[in-house]
Amino acid sequence: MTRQFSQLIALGCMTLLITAPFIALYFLINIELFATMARSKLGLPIQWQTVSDIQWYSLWLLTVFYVATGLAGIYFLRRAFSNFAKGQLFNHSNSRDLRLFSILLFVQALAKPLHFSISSMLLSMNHPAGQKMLSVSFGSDEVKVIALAMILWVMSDLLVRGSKLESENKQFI
Amino acid sequence: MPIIVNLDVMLAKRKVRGKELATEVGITEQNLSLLRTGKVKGVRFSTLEKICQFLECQPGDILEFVPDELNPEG
Repeated sequence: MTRQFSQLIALGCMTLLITAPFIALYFLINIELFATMARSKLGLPIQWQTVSDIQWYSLWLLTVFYVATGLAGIYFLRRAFSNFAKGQLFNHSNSRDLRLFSILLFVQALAKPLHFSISSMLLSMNHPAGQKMLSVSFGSDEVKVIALAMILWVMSDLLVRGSKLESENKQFI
Repeated sequence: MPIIVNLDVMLAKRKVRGKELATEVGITEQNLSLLRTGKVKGVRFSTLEKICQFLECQPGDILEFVPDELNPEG
């Protein structure tokens, strides 16, 4: 069952890694759709009619950077789970990949409020003086992701110890 | 290492071939070779039991403690 789940996760990661750039490109071409989505997602009291195309393109670029950290993490997660699917549970490569994933997850959890703040600043740039915005948001979702990142960090350490035990066990006949 | 494996001696005494012992004990010939040359970290009790049963000997006939100063190879 572990192998099947691992294979499924690895496949999901691969699908995300392949489709994400195309989705990003699609949003770049169809910036209006991106703007509509951003308006509903951000939920900020911004005078949308003042937002120019260049601001939407800047927000797109900012979002691409933000999503790229998550995708980089998914790349390392896929590598680890591909090995799990092959039955290679304990090795240093898996541990390193899981650790890199946890670091990138941590970075993304911290980048989320930053992305939100910069977005609010960027989109309210054309507001009259005194009405420009800087919105900061840090919720339970970010705390959950940080906790998950910490758990994965410890798990990666467990894999290293497991790998040492396995190699030691092989030296016993 | 001060623990010497005398498996070769016992195999010669019992006129048993390594391949035969490996099959009987359920280990690979490669692992048996490592055991014979003392290049392993340890022997499981279950393996030792099977070896002793097959060769009709005691663990002491296979393993010997020789202090480092008496063992120039160690």
